[in-house]
Formats: sequence, structure tokens, C-alpha cells
Amino acid sequence: MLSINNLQASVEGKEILKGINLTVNPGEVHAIMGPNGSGKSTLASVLAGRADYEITGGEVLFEDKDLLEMSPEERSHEGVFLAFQYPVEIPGVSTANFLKTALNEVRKHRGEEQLDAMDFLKLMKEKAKLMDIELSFLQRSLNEGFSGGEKKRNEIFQMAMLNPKLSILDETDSGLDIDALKIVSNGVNSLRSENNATILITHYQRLLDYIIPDFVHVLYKGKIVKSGGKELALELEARGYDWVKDEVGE
Amino acid sequence: MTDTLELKQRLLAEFSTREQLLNGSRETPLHILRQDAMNRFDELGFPTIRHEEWKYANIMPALLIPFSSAQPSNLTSDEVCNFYLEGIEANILVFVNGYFAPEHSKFISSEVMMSNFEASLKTPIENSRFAKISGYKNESFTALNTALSNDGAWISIPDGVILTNPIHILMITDSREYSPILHPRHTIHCGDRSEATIIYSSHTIGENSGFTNSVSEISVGQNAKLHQYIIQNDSDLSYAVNSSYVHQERNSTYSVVTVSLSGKFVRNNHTSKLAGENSVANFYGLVIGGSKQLIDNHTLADHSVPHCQSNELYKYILDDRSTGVFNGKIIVRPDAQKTNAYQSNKTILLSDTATINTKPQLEIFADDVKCSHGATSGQLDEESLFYLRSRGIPADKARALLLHAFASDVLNHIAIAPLRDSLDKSIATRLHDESEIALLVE
Amino acid sequence: METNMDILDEVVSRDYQYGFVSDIEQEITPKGLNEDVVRLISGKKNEPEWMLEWRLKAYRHWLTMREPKWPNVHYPQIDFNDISYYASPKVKTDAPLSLDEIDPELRKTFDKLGISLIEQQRLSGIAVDAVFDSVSVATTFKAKLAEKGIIFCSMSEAVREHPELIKKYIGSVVPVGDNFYSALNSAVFSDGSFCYIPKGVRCPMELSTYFRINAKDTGQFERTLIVADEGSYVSYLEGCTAPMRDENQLHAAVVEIVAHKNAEVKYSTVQNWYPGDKNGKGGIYNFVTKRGICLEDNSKISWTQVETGSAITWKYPSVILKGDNSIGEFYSVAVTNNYQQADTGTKMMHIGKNTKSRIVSKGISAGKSHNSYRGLVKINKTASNARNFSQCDSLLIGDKCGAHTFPYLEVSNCNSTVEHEATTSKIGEDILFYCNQRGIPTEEAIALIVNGYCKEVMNQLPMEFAVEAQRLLAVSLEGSVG
Repeated sequence: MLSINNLQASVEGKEILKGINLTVNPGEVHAIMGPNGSGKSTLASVLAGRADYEITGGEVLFEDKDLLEMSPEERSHEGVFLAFQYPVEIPGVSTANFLKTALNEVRKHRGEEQLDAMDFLKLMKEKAKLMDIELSFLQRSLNEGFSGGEKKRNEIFQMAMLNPKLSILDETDSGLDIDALKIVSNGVNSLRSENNATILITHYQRLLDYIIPDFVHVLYKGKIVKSGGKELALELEARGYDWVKDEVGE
Repeated sequence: MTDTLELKQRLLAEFSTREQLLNGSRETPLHILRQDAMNRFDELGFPTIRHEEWKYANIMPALLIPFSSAQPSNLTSDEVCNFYLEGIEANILVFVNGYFAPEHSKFISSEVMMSNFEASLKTPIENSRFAKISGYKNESFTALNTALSNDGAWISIPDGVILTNPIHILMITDSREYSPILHPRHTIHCGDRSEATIIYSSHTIGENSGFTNSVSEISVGQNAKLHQYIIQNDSDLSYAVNSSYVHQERNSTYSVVTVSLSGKFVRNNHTSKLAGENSVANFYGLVIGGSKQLIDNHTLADHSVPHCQSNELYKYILDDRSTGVFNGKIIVRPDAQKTNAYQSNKTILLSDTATINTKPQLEIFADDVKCSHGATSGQLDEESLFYLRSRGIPADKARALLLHAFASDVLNHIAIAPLRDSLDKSIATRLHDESEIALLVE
Repeated sequence: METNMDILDEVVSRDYQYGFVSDIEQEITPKGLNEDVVRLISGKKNEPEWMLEWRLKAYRHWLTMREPKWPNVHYPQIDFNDISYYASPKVKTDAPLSLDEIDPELRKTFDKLGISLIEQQRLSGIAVDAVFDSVSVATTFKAKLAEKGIIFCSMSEAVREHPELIKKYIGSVVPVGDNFYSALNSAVFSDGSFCYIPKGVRCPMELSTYFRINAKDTGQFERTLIVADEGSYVSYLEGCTAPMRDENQLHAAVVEIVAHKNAEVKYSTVQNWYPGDKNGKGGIYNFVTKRGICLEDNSKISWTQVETGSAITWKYPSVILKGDNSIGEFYSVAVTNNYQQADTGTKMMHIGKNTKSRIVSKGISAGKSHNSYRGLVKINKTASNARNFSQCDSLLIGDKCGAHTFPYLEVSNCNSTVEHEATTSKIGEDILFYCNQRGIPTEEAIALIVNGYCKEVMNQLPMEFAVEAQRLLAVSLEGSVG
């Protein structure tokens, strides 16, 4: 599904990603861990197409198409979803209206019919229930005045609505208390299928107790320095990142 | 230069002609007042851009247009009913070319005194509210209006009356045959503990220019609430200078939302004097500028007593070769302690030939106050655009959606839902946003 | 709270520390202004013919102009014929003085002001041009600077020694007819500093000019010109004081800065002219035109000012951002107390692409004073991607003073971003009480709060200057609560 080959990217002339290689197949969950500043969020942003980054080398194929050539909306239409670490607040645009517009754009791309207000409402009710979100909440301006936990829940709710092929969750667990973490994890788990894949970007092992990854990768100084199964996460939790740093010879 | 002086000469001549027709009533206090105002206009002349308050609003080109005094005009009901507000059960006062048109007007709230200015002048000047609030010493357009005005709305809400149906003042300029210049004069009085909503809309029929120089004098009594919605929808050949003077007493609230959609030259002067403690003034404005329009909002929140509050939010979206001007002044006079005054002007320029000139001013003479202002000019937030695009919304749609959201912030201060929704719709169309902001969930 | 006010009432009496008069034999031209006076000044300075012509042109232009009335300040009509336009300490020869030859009384004056003219005694980081009334009396570290090709000398000397540079740059940023006071200055300017930093040179020390008005009934009209050639850097400081006199005195200076490609100029002022007494008698009228131009790409000009003195201040240090990617900054603290009036701010004119400007203004009004911020941010059509951020805050101490904000924002480019914020607040009694409760006396608490309030600006000042400025702030606000 996703194939990242020797991806290099920099921001304002400073190289952040120094050759990332990663393959993600349908049905898989990959966790990318690493200390602060290792390039985790940059990877997420580059995959979603944020303009601030300059791609200096390598390629990213998504279902054999060149992802890096696509605009952010094209990537979304193809099925790439980024749950933002810091979702923006957009005063005056209700979550409901925003999602209806987005969903119909995605459907247009897929050659599906536009949803009318009734069908949309039905779908929204169903997914809102999944994320334990009240409908009145969705009439409020997008993320405006939401708490950190509400914003993150809203991100996963949007993911449920748009039903992407590849979801990238950027530090979705940060700032969540244990109850919110459970709701978010339940949401993500219930959306898992053999046709879609998830990349979890996280600093802590805690999230992985709830969303069990198939693979764990350690990103350090812009490179994946170690990969393994879910037990790698536990080892990192127990021994910290210094151990990995030592292994790569620092 | 001689050309721009011509209009002034014609207006002075018109005044003398009228004066001769007065016969016996030349010595009335009303006429003496008008005479004084005309003299003042003669001294001041039309303001040039050398005048600090008119620095960014050049009225000179308008003075070259051969305007002549507006005459009454008979419109058919079909022509008028286009401008009635859909879905709102309102009292309607229609003015065509500044003259009251009772045949098109409608009164449903019997508890309120609604009439026209001409009729109200039958009361002796000492008892009328004419020129009691507005000063014309330094404002040449107000002086001109004071001298030449002969009609307009006259509304008095008695003490304690809570008006459920709004009053719609509908101004139509008929410029089909010539370019009229008119000086409507509106007087609105809200008695103690009363509450009312007044909608004011202006429109043009015809292809010639028009010049409206209106003055409103508004008094809001103790514990009274007045909401005003002003919809400016004149043709793109029309000129307007609207000056409104509000006097607020203790515990009163005055709110105004001005939505400027068209007009070649629109200058709005809003002055509110907070003269009684605990009064609140709210000014909101939305400007959607295109073509070669110039829209200028001047506001003054004059805090003269303690414990008052003023809020201002003006938003501009400017495209093509349009120019926006915002000049907001907050004065906190000595002793007006515990004042809370807030002011914000936000602009989005859509083209490199559009310009915003903004001058938010604070003049503070008391120390225990909270005053702030902010002004921004810029583009849509890149981060928001990226967020929308990453959810699959194409860039141009995302832009339209965000622009619409930017505007809706002001419209949300309109409490009459049908009015708000219809304005929202026409603004969405202007901004090419096809999504429905107010999508209902339940 | 009563006690706080009482304590402060007692501290009011601290005098203006620099108010002494030096007893020096001086040469003062008779009062009045006409072409002969202009010729006389030019002649005193042995100026070439072209300079005299330039002055006369300015004088004739000035005659056609009228005093500006738009600033938010009030003062009686100035009689320009009741001022003497030239005053200098008497010297025996015309030759530039060596430092040892300076009149000991004069040297004492500057010592008293904390400005030593003896190089060995100076903090080694600063070179000084000392201006006493109409003339520059000494410039230190000239030789050392010359090694790097840096020219730092009095304006009079520069006109004689470097005519090609002066001809090229004088009036290039502030044209002769720019405004009433700049025209007057162009006609009668007596001295000032000139500074040229050659290509690629980073000036190794702070350059500074110290201005002192001493003579009675004179005006001071100095002119400063700083040219930073390609890739150079200089930090420039300016300080000023005057004796206490009951009459108002006029100071109308012009400062011009030119920054070439990749060059950076940092200009800092601590303005402490005599502000008048606590009843508003006397004090300097400080009517100054300061402007810099970022002439070429990637250049930067930064103004920092701490304005505590003068009866009336009227100045707007500005930057014309002509080169692409150029940066303009304005950091200002303006304190007014008693009957002082200040109308100050900046203009940022964005012309080049990607130009940036930043304005931080902190106005503090106390007593019966009035403090206005007046600023213009203009974004031309050509200035794509230009950015401006302005923050203008006013602090009121007492209920008899005024704080005013008059920002003008003119934007004609749709890819630009302009943000302006302004707030007005006071030092709350609760804050003072909190400080008192922690053992901090009220006067100290006010100084503490004000310094915190101004920190963003103070941080821009070179170290020694910052200490001086902080102390000044405290002194000028003494007696402000009560």
C-alpha cells in the first residue's frame, strides 16, 4: 500500500529526514517511536503534503502512485488521512458543515453520489456514537474552544467519517487522560480492517497497550534505526531511548 | 475646482429658493436653526482629503456629477415589494427619493408612534427632537442635512414598550431619469425600559448616480435596548454619507450591525455617546468590497461617565480595485473610570489592487480602564487551509469556506434569523461558497 | 494605600541630576535667523561653497513652510528670531583638538556627565563623539577605528575631509524640504557625527555621540549621518542632557541612516534632555527627524529609544524598506511625567519584497502628562509577502494623565500580513499591595513593574546603556503616584 524509499526532507535548509525506508501493507498497524526531535512529526507532515518541507530525495509510493506529486487534497481523496497533533481551530465553520463538504469531495473523487443532508446526518449520528460525541458538539465551530481531548476525539471521528485507507495518527495520545485514551483507541480499533492500514506516531508506549501494533520502528535523527515487533515498544519503555542511541554508536 | 464648487452653489441656491417660499414662517426657531446650519455648511464646504477625517475618502469626484434635488417619485407596488424582507413580519416605512410613501408602508404595532419627519415638524421646535443630539458645527454633511432635510422616519417607542415586530425603514432611490441628491433625516427615540429592533435598508432603482446624505438622531432611554441592522445595497453608481448620532442613558444598550454590500462610495459615521452609567454600545460591521468601491466606516465610542462598555468588530473582505477605510475612535474622558472598551478591525485583501486604510485610535484620559484595539490585514490562515485540504476539500473551495466563515462572525450578531440567513446566503454567493454554513444537525 | 501615596509624595523632590551649567567661555552668535546667519555658520566651519549653497537652498525653502500642527502637543508659538543659532566653546585655533588640548572645564563637564573623553578611562567598547552646544569637542578612538577604514568624526570635519561621501548621502534620506524642522536643521545645522563603515567591516566597538546643551537661549541643531556599506555592521548610541533653565529651548536634529546590501545598523537613543520642572516650567522642545533607508537587499535598520526627558518630544524614527528582504525595527519606551508631552512613534514604509517590520512601543504616562503613539505602516503594492507586527501598550499612573494611540495602517498588497495590537492599563493597587506585602516599597515596586513592562525594549539596548536607562526610568517616575 505505502512504500517509502530513502525519503529525505528538510525545512529552512536544515535536513530533518535523512533517508527513511518503510513499507506498509493493508491490514497492518505500524508504530513509529522515537525521542523528541527525531523527525516523527515531520514524516507525518511530509506524507500529508504540508508545504513547509522541501523533499530533497527519495520517493513515496501509495498504491503505486507517486504520493509526493499530489496536492494535500488529492492525497486525501486517494485515502490518506492525517490525525493532526495540533488540530487547528476554525471559527465560523461548523464541524458538521466542514465534514459534509469534505466527505462529498472524497465521494466525488471515488465516483460516488453526493450524500444529501439526511443521509449525511444518519452517517454522522452513527459515527458520533462510536466516538461518544454529542451531536450538538458537531454544530460548534471546528475545534474552537475544544479541550485537547475533544480535539483529538474529533480527529478520530473525522477519520471514521472519511473512512481512509491509510491513517497517520500524529501523537494522538498526547494530552489525553486515560478515559479519553480508551475512547480514542476503541475508535481506532473498530475502524481496523484487512483493507486499511495505520501508522501510529507516538512518544510513549502507553498508547500501544490499547492499539496493538504489528510493527514498531524507532526513528532517531531522521532515520529508522531499529525495527521489531510489539515487544520492542516494551523494551523501549523499560530501557529508554539511550539504549538505542548506544546501539547506533553514540 | 470651479466644478466641484458648483454643487455647493446649487445647494445654497436651493436653500434660498426654499426660504423665499416660507413667507411668514421665516422667523420660526426651526428656520433660524436651519439658516445657521446652512451658513455653517457654506463656511465648511465639502471636506477634502486634507481634512484628517476624510484623508482616505475623496468625495471630490462625486461633486462633479450633475446631481439635482430629489423629487417625489411614484413606484408601483411590484417595484417596491422586491425590497420587503422575506419571512419577517415587520412594520414598514417606505421612503422613495427620501419622501415618505404611505401607500407602500405598513404599520402593525399600534403601541409605537411611527410617522414621518415632515409630519413631526408640526410640533414646535422646542418640543421636537430635531438637532438635539447631532452637532453640525464641525460636520459639513450634517450641517447640510440639517438645513435641507425635509423628510425621513420619525419613531418614538413609549416608556416600557417592548416591540415584538421590528421596524423596517426602507429607502429606495429612483435614479431612472436623473441623478438625485437627498438628505433624509431620521429621528428615533426609545423610551425608558423599551426595547426595539430597527432594520434599515437602502436600494436603488435606475442607472444614474444618486447621492444620499442621511442623518439619524437616536436616543436610548434608561434601561432601554435598541438593535439596529443596516443593510447597504445601493447600486454601484451611488454615493452615500450616513451619519448617525446616538445618545445613551443609564443601563441602556445600543447595538448596530452594518452590512455594506455595494455602493460606489459609502461613508458611515457612527457616534455613540455613553452618557449614563452602565450603558453598553456595540458596533459591528461587515464590508464586502468589489469593483472600484470605497467603503469607509468611522466610529466613535465616547465614554463620558464611569462603568460603561463598548465593543467594536469590523471585518472587511476587499477584492478588485476596492478600498476599505476603518477609523475607529475610543475616547475615555476624565472620570470615566472602569470603562471597558474593545475594538477590532480585520481585513482580508483578495487582490493587489485592493487597499485597506485603517486607523484605530484610543484617547484615554482616565487610568482605571481596560481598553484595547487590534487591527490585522492579511490572508486566510495557511494552517487552516492545509487542514481543510488534507481532509479532501480542494484549495479554492477551502478558501471560499474560510472567507465565508470570516464574514459570518459579524452576521452572527444579527438576532433575526430570516434576515441573517438571507444575508448569509447572498454573501456566500458573492464569495462563491456553495456549502451551507448553518447546516442543521437535528 | 494612603501611605504609599504619602511616601511617594516625599520622593518627588529629587532634582534633574544633569541640570548644572558649565562656566565656560563661549562664543554665541546674536539671536535671529537670516541668510547672513546661515553664511556665518557655514563660514565658522570653513565649509566649501557647495555646502553653503545647500544650506541656503534649505533656508529659502524653510521660509515657505509652516510649523506642523497635527501632533497632539500644545505649546506657545516659537519665535524663531528669539533663538541664537550657534554657540561654541572658545578655542584658540581652528585645528582639530587633540584630546589633551581640551579645556579642562569642558572635560570636567563631560566627566560629570559620566562621559570621559580620555580614552584610557573609557570602557574600551565605546568610541565617543562629544557635542557641546553647536560643536563637536572631541572624538575618541578615531585612530583605532581608522585602521579598519571606519570614518567616525564630527560632521564639520566630514564636510571638509570627505566631501564626496557627504555630497552623496546628505539629504538622501531626509530631503531638505521633508518637513518644517528638517528644513530648518538643513539650513543651520552646526555639528553632529558622521560615520562610515566600509564594505564587509563589522565595527569593533559601539560608536556613540553625546549631546550637551549648555548655552542659554540657543537652539541645538545637530545632524547625524551613518552610512553602512555592503555587508557591514555598526551599533550606534546617542545620549543627551541639558541644564535646568526656566526658558524652553529648541532641539531640532536630523539623523539619516543608509544601509547598503546585507548591512545592519542598530541605533539606540537614551534621550534625557531637561524635561522642565514639576510645574511644567522650562524644558527642551525636542523636535527631531530620524529616518533610515534599507537601500538594498537583506539590509536591516533597528531603532531603539528610551525617551524620558524633554518638555515636548515629537519624533518618529522611521525606516524605508526599499531592498528586498530588508528588516526595520522600532523599539520604544516613552515616559512622561508632570507636564511633559510626547508624540512619538515610527513609520515603516514597505516597498521591497519580503520586507519585515516590527514595532514595540511602551508609553508610560504619569502626573499631568500626555503620551501619544503615532505610527504609520504602509505596505506598497510592490511589497509582496511583507510582514508587520506592532504592539503599542500604554500604562497610566494616576488619573490626571492621558494616553493616546493613533496608528495608521495602509495596506495595498494582498500577500502581506499586518497586525496591530494596542492595550491600555494601569498599575493596579492590588499589584502594589502584593509587592508591599512581600516587603517591596511602593516606589521600588513601580520601578520594578515599569521595568518589567519595558523589558522587551530594554533588552534591545547595549548592556551599559540598559543599566543607565533603567535607572532613568525609575528617576523620571519618582513622585508619579500621589
